[in-house]
Amino acid sequence: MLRASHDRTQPVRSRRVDPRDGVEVRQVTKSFGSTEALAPVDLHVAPGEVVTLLGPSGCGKTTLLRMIAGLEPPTAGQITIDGRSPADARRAKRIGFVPQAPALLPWRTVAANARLLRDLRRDVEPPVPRDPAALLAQVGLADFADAYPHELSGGMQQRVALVRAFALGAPYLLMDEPFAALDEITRADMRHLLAELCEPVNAAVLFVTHSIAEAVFLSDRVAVMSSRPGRVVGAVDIDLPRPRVPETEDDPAFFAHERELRRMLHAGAGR
Amino acid sequence: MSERLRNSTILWATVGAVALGVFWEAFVRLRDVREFVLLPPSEVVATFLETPGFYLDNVWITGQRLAIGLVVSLAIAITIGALLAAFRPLEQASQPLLVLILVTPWVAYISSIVLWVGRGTPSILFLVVFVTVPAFVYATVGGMRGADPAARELFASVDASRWEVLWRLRLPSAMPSLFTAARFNVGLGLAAAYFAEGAALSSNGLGEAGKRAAALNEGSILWTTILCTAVLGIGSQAVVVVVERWLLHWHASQRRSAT
Repeated sequence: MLRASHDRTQPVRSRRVDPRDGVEVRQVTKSFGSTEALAPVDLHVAPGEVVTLLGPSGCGKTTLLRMIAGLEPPTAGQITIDGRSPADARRAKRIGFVPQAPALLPWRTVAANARLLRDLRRDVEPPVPRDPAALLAQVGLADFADAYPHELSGGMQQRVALVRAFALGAPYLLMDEPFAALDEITRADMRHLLAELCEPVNAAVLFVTHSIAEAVFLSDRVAVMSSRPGRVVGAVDIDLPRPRVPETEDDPAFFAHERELRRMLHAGAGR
Repeated sequence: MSERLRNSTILWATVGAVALGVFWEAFVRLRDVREFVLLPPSEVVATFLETPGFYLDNVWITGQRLAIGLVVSLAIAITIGALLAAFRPLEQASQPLLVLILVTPWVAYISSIVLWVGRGTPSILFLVVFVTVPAFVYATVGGMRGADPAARELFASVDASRWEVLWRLRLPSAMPSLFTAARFNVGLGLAAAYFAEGAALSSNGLGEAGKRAAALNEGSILWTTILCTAVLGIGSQAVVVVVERWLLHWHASQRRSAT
């Protein structure tokens, strides 16, 4: 049932159509001074695919995501998004970024924060703009549209951050451990909500996390990373049926995937 | 004592003010202090009521100079601060000048200002702007640098322009520190305006009235002028506080908390 690949020499890729489509990471490395943070990495995210980078802290998964978002230059190698450079993709508003902290602007209301990415660079129309108000209603924050961020709980703030990225309507969503600061119960709610938000959208999602449950629940494919230096040690296709609902987590196949990923993480850590 | 009574800001501020007035009045009368040294509050009120128009006109004139000076200073400081926040070498290069402005006593160089920009209002405005710019610049640079790094990346993720980052992120981030600087600068600017009016051959303003009263040995007029200046300062502070409440309602400093 599992179509896991442990072959370290094989780049992580699946159902490729046009080689220029999607996020293409080729032999990308990153060094800080003399420290090698990321050994050569190959990765492909097809349009509409949900891929998770799973690994322990310090394995370079956030660095890899930031390089794809064009927020940091790679030391070597090449990254393209639909054949264009990350900088071009940013300029064309094709990247919806969700940072680790909600990063809401405290002087803007919830509604104004939700449309922040739309308000910036108004000259560029995003490919598939979506109504921030409708999205806020979908995540249960309709009554808080006029509230200010400090009036919200951490989980509610992170929901606004998700809405902000989805409202942009970008074809690529890059999420950097968005639920890392939340408690376990809220985290579970958030991943269910994120799956719900992703369902009708044909956006590709690259999701960084150190939570195995999040990785299995959300992804079409999980790329497992290990540290020192950071590298992709393998990938697992998650063939759980969609739409993913909270009950998916009770499926025996869900546990099997979790076990598989845990074993790969331990193997990658050299244990 | 009920919780509400204990937390009433206005009540306790009034109690403090009345207590101060009573002590002041009693001190001057019991110790028989000369009126040129200190005038009791009752005499100040009496002197004011003799020619209220004279004092109110001067409060208006000095208040205008203070307000214009502070607004010009703020505009200059935000422009300079935004540049310094963007270019660190520029910030370091500007430090000697800013520190020099801050530490040099302006009492000492007022004659040079009068010679340079002319007597009266130009000199007064120049001094108010000159002495209040450094605090506003520091507040701008610090506040803009302190903008949330995650929010900066978010702006970068859609390739926001420099102008958008400045206007929608950095400037609002600098507001809290700018208001702190404004409270400080209201006092500093008022002192500079009062002094410059007396020293820049001005024909009106509280500082000029105070200087003339001192020259003519008119203790009661001098002290009434001084008290009018203080009231102008309190009023200006109040304006800053009200604008701050209004503009910074989202900031932690403006929230009522239990403790």
